[in-house]
Amino acid sequence: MLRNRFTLLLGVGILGVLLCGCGGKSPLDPKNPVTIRVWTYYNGDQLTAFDNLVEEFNDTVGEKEGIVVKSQSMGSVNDLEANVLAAVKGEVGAEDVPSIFMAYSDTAYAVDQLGQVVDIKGYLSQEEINSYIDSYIKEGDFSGAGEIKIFPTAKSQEVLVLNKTDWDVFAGKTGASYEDLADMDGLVETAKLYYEWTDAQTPDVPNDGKALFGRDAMANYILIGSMQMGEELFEVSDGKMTLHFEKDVARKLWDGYYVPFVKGYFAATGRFRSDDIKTGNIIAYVGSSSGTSFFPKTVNLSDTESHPIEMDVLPCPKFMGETPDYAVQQGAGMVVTKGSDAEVYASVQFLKWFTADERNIKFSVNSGYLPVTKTANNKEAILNSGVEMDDARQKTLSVGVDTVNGNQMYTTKAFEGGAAARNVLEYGMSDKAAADRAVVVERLAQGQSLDEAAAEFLSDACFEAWYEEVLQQLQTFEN
Amino acid sequence: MAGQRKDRTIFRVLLVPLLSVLAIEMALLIASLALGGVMTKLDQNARDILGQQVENRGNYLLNDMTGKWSNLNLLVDHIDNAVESKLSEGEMTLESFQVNGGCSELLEELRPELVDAMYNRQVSGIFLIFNTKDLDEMEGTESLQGIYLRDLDPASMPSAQYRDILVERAPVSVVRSGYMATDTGWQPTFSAEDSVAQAFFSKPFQTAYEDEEKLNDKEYGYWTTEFYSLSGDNHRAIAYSMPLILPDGTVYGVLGVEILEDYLYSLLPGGELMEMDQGSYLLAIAEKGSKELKPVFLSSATITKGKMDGLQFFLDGESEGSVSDAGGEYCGEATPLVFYSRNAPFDSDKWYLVGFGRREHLFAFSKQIQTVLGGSFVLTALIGLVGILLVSYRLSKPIRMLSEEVEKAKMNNVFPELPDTGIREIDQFSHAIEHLEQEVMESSTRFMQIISMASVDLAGYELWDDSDSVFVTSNYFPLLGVEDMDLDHLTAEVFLAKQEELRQSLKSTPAEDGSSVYAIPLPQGDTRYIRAESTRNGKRLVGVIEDVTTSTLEKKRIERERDCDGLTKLYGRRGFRREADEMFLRPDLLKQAALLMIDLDNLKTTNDRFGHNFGDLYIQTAGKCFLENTPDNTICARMAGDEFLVLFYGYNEQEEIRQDLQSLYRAIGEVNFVLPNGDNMGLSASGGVAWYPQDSGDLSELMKYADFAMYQVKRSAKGQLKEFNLEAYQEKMRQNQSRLEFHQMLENKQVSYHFQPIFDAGTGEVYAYEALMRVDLPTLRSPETVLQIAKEEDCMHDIEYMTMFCASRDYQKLLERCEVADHAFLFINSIANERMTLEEEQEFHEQFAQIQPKIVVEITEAEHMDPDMVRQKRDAVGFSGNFALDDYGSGYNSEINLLELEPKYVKVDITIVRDIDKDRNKQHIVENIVHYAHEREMKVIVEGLETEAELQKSLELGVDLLQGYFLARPGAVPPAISDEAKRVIQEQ
Repeated sequence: MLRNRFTLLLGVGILGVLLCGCGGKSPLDPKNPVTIRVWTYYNGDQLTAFDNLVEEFNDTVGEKEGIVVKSQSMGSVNDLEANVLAAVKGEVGAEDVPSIFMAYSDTAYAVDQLGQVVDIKGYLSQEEINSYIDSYIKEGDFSGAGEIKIFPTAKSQEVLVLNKTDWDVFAGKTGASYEDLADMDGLVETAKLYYEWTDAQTPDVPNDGKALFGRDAMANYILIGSMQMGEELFEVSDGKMTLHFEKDVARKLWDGYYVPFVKGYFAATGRFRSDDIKTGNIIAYVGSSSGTSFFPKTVNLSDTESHPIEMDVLPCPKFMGETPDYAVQQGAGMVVTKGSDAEVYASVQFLKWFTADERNIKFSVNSGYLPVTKTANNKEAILNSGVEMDDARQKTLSVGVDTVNGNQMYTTKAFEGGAAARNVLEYGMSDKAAADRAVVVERLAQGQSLDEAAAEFLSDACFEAWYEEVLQQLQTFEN
Repeated sequence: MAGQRKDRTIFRVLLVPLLSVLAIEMALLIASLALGGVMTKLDQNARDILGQQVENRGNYLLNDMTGKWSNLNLLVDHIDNAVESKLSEGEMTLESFQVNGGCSELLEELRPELVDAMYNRQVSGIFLIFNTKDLDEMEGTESLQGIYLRDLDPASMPSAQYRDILVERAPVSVVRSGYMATDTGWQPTFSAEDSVAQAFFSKPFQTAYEDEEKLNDKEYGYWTTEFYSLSGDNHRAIAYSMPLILPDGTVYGVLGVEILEDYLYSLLPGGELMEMDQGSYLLAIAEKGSKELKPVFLSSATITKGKMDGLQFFLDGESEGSVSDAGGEYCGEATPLVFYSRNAPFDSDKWYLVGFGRREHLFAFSKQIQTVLGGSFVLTALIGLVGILLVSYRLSKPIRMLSEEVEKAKMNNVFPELPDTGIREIDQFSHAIEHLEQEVMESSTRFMQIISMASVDLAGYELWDDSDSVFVTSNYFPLLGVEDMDLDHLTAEVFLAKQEELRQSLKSTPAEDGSSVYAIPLPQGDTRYIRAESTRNGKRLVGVIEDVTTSTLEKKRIERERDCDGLTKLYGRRGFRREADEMFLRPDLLKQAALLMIDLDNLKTTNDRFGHNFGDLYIQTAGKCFLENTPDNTICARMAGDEFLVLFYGYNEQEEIRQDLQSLYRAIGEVNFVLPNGDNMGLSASGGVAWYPQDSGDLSELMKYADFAMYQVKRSAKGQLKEFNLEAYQEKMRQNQSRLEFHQMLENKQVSYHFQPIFDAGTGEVYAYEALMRVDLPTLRSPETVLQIAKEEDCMHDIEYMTMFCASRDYQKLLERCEVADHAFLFINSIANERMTLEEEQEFHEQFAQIQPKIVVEITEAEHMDPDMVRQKRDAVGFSGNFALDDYGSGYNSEINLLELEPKYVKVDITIVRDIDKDRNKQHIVENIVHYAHEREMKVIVEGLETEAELQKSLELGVDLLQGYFLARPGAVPPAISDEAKRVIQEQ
């Protein structure tokens, strides 16, 4: 009997020694933390906000659970995309594939096609999934089978940003109001009014009217404009795109941007419209809610003339078509790449922590983005979150939340060549507009009147030519 | 010696050496690790690897810093040229640098070059700031013209259309041109805060500005030692900047590149140094001559900024390149980054790249090995210990169990039942013991049963020299007739004392096997015989006593029976001998004694005629008769068959015994048997008597004498009694001796021959020699006795053979020595009725062929002479055929013999020769013989001539040959004729 007990003791002892190495559920070991690398294209305030949160995570949860997050900004979406693809494809000189990278659905889709994207559905409970805004979650469902390959962290919309200081001067003199900016027709009208008002400020200099408005994202304008007019330009099903580019819709879009641009009512000279605001070129633009953080505090009309300005945020002007309540859903999500179990687990842990309501609000507020959960995407919740925010931020978030809640958020589904197709939309109209405007400006300098100078570009033929060209380009992406 | 060994349990016996072995093994392991210095080497190795990594990374960094980032020469030349050209063409003056908007065109013109340089140099930013004024004299509010561009991802390919470029500082016109986006903190000009107050601007500018002898602008190149941020911007960067100097020495601005913290971070991945990203890179500066490292930049996944602020690193003074922190928590390796020229303005900043980590991480490998070794050491020790305990316990347990079982059994005085241990050898052993025990038990039981069945009382004791206790069987003392011993408290001393007492008091007889038999008198008057024996075996004394009463009594009875004759109930030979021997030791008891030996006559015929039963009866009756008719103290014994001995003793006179003897013989004579056939028969016994002490004092001798006397009777008239006669006995003995000697003589041919010459009566010359036998043995001396005994012993043939051979042999020797006359004949006496065998004759012929022709066979007249025998002798091979007839006239039928033999010589018998000179008859006989002989050509020999007269008469009578003492005596060498005889012969 004694012998048996001895054997038992020995057995238990050996078993204990053997099992020592194995642990509980988490694949993490606080003593040997897992480092996950996150690539973003953030810069400016967004980067600062993101880095602050990363630091907070590392100091708290990360340290406790054994996760070290290192963030690296690639500076721009394009750089990020190029670096990610280079890393995934293993190109010469490329860096290691990061654990998490920010990506739009197009990039995520491309990387997914290379087999490097983790479906994180398995790491989330249904309750957790339900807490996110449905359309955000759906964006990462490439196959339509309910997979989640893009984790929403922060989303932005388009808003109309306004140099309120200079607008107020204009409005005070002309009686223009914010309501005029609610739809596209009103916007164009107001822009004409502003051009004429500013031209009149210097009677001795003809045709020196200023543009009221500019746009950053032409593709959004065309895509959402189509949707508002009841037509989905890129209808995607199973990764295949079907083009719906009707001429009448195209004409309305033409009239909503190209025409006022050629006439000088709209403008785009700086790199981004915020640059135009900074140099006083325009006083309003439609851009990403996230971009409002770049909105300057002063306007430098020249190297020596400058004056402080205030910002105001309004909803995007809409085409009052069949279904005007469409808004663009933008902002990249986070894509988790394949790696060790610990790395994937750590990545999801970080993202969940990052999108917890309070933190999500904090980040959104500081970077001009909107929270991604249903509960956080709420004005009161944001106001009550205790996060300090200035007036401009508050306005952006307020408009953003209303936009999300009052519209159907839309983004094109990923399809092969989606990014290139989008580029056609992005530059197809704006480049032509910029080039033609340059001709008009030249003609004006030669002493022609605006109508004379612009007549060539305002003809139907011009539109037809452009339409056919773009149609042809877009059709190449079909299927 | 053996006592020195401690009494240890088997558990300890197993445990101690095994533990010792384990301990030695462990000690060896520790010693080999400690002395081998493996850990130190591993640690040094880890340091070396770290040092190499740091050096490599440092080289990369240095390469970037000097070869790429700060390599702005071409750009500087370009800017100088552009500025010079603008100045010379009057588009600009030196004052334009200080005027807002004064440099916009220049900057617009330089923008592509700057962007290209930024891309090509792979820096995160590039800046150009114009100023021609002494900084010390500036008021601090003035803003400076310039441009500051930034690329957040300098490592990646430049984006199309400058998309990745942000404008930090640039004139509005540059921004409006739309090539580049502004950053949040964009300003058209550099405020004093961003220029004059910044080291990247002020240090190189003012140093160059103040330096009278302008060096090459590159020598003023300066790396900021701290990170800075532009106002309105969060990015932290370090910068390399150099002054722009016109050929005339005018310092008109600063050109520089910035390296963002993030970018630097990606270039110095601290994590690469150690596993699990535990390593860190530190870019630091040591003031000239100082060991303290002032941190510039930290790339670490594990050390937060806050933590870094609390750390202070020093270069290790002793070993080059080693670095450790003040708290000793971290350590690492440093490699110097040398990019300033020697004695350049900022050469006092000594830059270092340090790779470091927590000590436990740097030395993780050795620590891991230590842990693994330690763990396996402890585990080995533990397993070894447990194993040893287990093995020792398991091995010793069954043995202990057995031992306990044996102990228990010993306490209960039973035989242990040994349980199975499960160990085959031990079980076999214990089974063997059990089996043995059982066998011992069985055999002892069997033995006890046999003993009890044999009704032998056996008892014993055991004593040890070194122990006071004694083991005694309970029946020991009772058997010895001691009833009141307390065995429970018996000590060895008491026991031995009692033993000695018993030995003294009891009558004992030693037995043949060395033991003693004690006679224990019993109360009833009987005796108990106890055989006692003891053996000493080292210190152990074991004794056994045995009741041998029955066997002793039986033995005594057997002895008695053996001493007596069963038939007659008289003593047997043995009994007689014992009794008589005892008696002969006591002459006082014997006094006058006589030993009578009786032999019953006619027993054989009685046995033959009437059978043994009757013979036995005959003997029985005789014995009874002897017993009844002798005095009580007489010892009667039947010796064997029909022989009896009767010893009379205790008499004073021989005569008294003679009377008793006579009365005995009378009684014998009166005994009468009725034979089975109805005839009557008396008892007849021949007897011989020998006297003590007259004849002998020795029993054996007396028995011999009596026997002799008895046999004398037996040979003569049976049924008589005869006393021993010493003379008769001795004669008999002598005869016996002569016979013995005779045979000895025959055997050894102990006989010699003397030769007596026979002379010619006419000439007195030697005619022949007669060979005469001479015997010289103690009792056998005369040839007559020899012949008599030969006749008695039937050995005549041997005498004949011996005489022929030995006489011839001796004579031949004489002949060879020329001691006899060559021509003489040899007379050899032959026995009339004996002859040699043919083979002997042949042998004789071969041996003595030389003398055979001279041999005359002399035959003595016998009772009867066999004619065949004579013929055969005559025919013997090589024989001359000459016979001589000896002793003629003395024997019987002399004439017949003469006729038969036809001898050549006739020897007149000595009785006729004796006194022949005086007896006329004798003379007449001789005359007749001579007459008869001469007629037949025989020669007559007279022998035994002893006187002159006899010779003369013989000569007168006309004999031919003469022999006798008067002429010559026989001798081994025959003498010559005596002078007197010669004279007599010559005088005739």
